[in-house]
Amino acid sequence: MIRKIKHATGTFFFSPACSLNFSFLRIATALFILLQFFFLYHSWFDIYGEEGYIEWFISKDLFSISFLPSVITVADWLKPMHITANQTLMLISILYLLSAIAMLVGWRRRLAVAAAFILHLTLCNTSMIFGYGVETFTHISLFYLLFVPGRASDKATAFSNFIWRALQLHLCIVYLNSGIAKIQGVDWRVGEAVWYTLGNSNYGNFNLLWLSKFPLVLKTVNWWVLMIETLYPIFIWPKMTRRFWLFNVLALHFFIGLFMGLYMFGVIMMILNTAAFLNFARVRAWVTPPDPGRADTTLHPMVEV
Amino acid sequence: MVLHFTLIGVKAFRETPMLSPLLKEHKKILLASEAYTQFSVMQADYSFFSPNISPDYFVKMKYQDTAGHWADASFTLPNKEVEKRFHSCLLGIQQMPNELTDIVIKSWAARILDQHPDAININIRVFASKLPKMREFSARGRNPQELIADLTFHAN
Repeated sequence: MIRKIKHATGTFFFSPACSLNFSFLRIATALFILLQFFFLYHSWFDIYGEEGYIEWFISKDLFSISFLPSVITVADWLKPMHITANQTLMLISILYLLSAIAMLVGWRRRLAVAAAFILHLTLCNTSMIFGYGVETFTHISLFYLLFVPGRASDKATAFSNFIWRALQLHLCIVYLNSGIAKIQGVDWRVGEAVWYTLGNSNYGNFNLLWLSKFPLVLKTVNWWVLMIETLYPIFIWPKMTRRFWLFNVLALHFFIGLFMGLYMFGVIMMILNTAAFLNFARVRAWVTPPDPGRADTTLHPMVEV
Repeated sequence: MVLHFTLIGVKAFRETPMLSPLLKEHKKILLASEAYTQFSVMQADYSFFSPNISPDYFVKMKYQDTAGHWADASFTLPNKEVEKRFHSCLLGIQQMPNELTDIVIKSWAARILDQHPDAININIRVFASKLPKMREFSARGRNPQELIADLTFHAN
């Protein structure tokens, strides 16, 4: 029995797997970073600047984490060189964008990801209070890409599979934590939470207040959200339920974007779920049939969707 | 990987009845988890929109010019993404002690003064509003907005 468990665990974590999923994650994350910049650039200095919505002298003490880098600390280092705070922010921002472009085109992938990781952390730690789930999940994506930046032609390796499993397990923790936290709230237990969210003018994209006349609709959606999130760690693994669960979680994030205006959050979650649980090797084989003369670098059968 | 997920799990599930008493006794574990998760995965608290849904928060900013007229001084938020970030900020400061919230609101007043040097008074009000339950809403509509902060600054 123990030998069987040991063998199964070894196969689960260390079977060779190609890094196609990470290639997708790298390219999608890079595009995401560039898209996010497109939406924020008008307000970039308002969010991250010394004299933004919350000035640095307040952020530094109240919101920034002291042991992590921030634009504020970098600006202090560069001040003796007569580089102003705004110039420092501009420099860090340009480097961040260049690292995203390098990630996108696959130039010095590991260096590009490492640079994006540190610079993303530096920017976010400058204005932590303006961050929300988008920052968290962009950072998660960059963290796992540090280990496997991904290239379509990479050989299948055990390490690639190991990191892929780590990403999958991380998403399981995310949804389990999210589900359990929701269940602890009376709004979610009685089925009113989705109603409150859609009726919240800070989030609701459409006027759906008329749905109050059909409470069962929103209560059903409420409990659907709870079910999809809390049971994700169980049902995302078996082949029989994986596609259904993946479809539902992608739908969940699509609707979060559509109905709550959390477009970017919806997109990054869809990217992460797709990278974690879609079998890209199978997709590639379907699009481009494998060369019979070439060694098989597709994923181990056990890990297929 | 075991250490990685242990530290993430500690942060994510620190409020659960099983872990909370243990972590109160062994604060170093929580500190280590906090430090690691902040660096690697930027906090590991995934309890979004939980346990309950926060109210709507609205900020109304206005200034009075030398002629005595009040004009709107709200920040321009060009798109939904920027609005979401400002809303995150509002949610965040609501969880702070009042004196710290006042510091943030004062900095907004200073920003308004920079933009409108002719302002003699600047007023910033923060409102909260939570929908009633669906059945109650069908019967009587929205709850009135609750004023939770009202600060007026006199520019000399």
